[in-house]
Amino acid sequence: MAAIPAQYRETIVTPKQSRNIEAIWSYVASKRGTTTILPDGRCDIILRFNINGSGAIIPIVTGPATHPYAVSVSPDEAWVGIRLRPDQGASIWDSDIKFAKNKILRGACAIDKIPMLASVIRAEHNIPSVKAALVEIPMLAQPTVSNIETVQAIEYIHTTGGRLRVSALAKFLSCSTRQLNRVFHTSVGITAKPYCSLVQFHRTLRLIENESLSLSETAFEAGYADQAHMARTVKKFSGFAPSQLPFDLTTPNLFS
Amino acid sequence: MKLGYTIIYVSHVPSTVAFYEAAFGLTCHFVHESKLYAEMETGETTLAFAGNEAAEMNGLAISPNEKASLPAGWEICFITEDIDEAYAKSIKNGCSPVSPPAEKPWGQKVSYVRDLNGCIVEISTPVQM
Repeated sequence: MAAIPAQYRETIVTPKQSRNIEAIWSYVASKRGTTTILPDGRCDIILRFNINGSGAIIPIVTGPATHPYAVSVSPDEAWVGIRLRPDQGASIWDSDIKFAKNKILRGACAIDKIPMLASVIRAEHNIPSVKAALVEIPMLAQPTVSNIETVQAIEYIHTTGGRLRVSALAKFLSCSTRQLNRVFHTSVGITAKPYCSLVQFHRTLRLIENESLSLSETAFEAGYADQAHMARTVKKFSGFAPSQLPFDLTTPNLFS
Repeated sequence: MKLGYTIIYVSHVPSTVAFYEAAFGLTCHFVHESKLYAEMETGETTLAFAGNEAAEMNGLAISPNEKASLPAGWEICFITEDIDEAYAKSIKNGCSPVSPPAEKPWGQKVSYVRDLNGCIVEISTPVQM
């Protein structure tokens, strides 16, 4: 019997619609097991609930991740989330964004951070209702005004596939490496170099998914020094070797 | 004004000419004796190659096209009906693959490779109007 694929659905929010939400996503596993959540340097507001209606809706707030997470999933569970644009982490964490790297707040701690979640978790246990409740959160309607350098830097990093050195990036933006890292840290929550590495990594995943380039061709096109360098990076950010990436790994669409 | 030429600055003109002849089936119709300039037969708009030294002579300062570096932000695009054959031929003759022929929502099949100098070359089918 053919396996029903896990369903990861994403609606990309275009820049005109919102200056802080990058995507609204949902996920339902096809079978019980563990799935890998890949780091993307962005903050998410997530709700996890049982489709049968049993139990509470669990709120989760994340800081920018720089390593993968293994999460246990099952087919009677749904996940709904809002992924913020990379420069909008401070809209959740304020000045605490500097300490938010790889942080995960669950339940009461999440509600502490975003009080509106208290009413979101009273929504009906289905994906459309939870989504509708999530987008109502007022803070999401007012994006924090981003530093122009951060926004431009993020755009450059995406355009260059994460291949540009931070020093070259700073030159483009007519600022010092130190200034660049400081504005990055206070809005994204990680410095420019790890962000570049993550963008490069996600581009690499797309190239590998494409399946028509050999691993060495992929390493070359992605801008790694060699295949070993690519393998180390892919392992670090996904937990897998490039040749052993699960075919059903969820790869989000990341934009600048 | 008409677009007369697309001129790519390269580190070695003769190698680039030979490469484009083999990889894309183009014909060279002019090479300057200095070996710093050559033109390919490409119809109304000429694809030409100039040596990096020519840039300086022209009073220009440029970012050189290098295979190992991040490509420049522009491309040349070849149009052909036989995209699969053209793509395979380009790879066989030394292009590095970026993405193989894929159908786009507007009906065009599009592929990308990079040449010996790292320049982005698109090989696509004609757009049906």
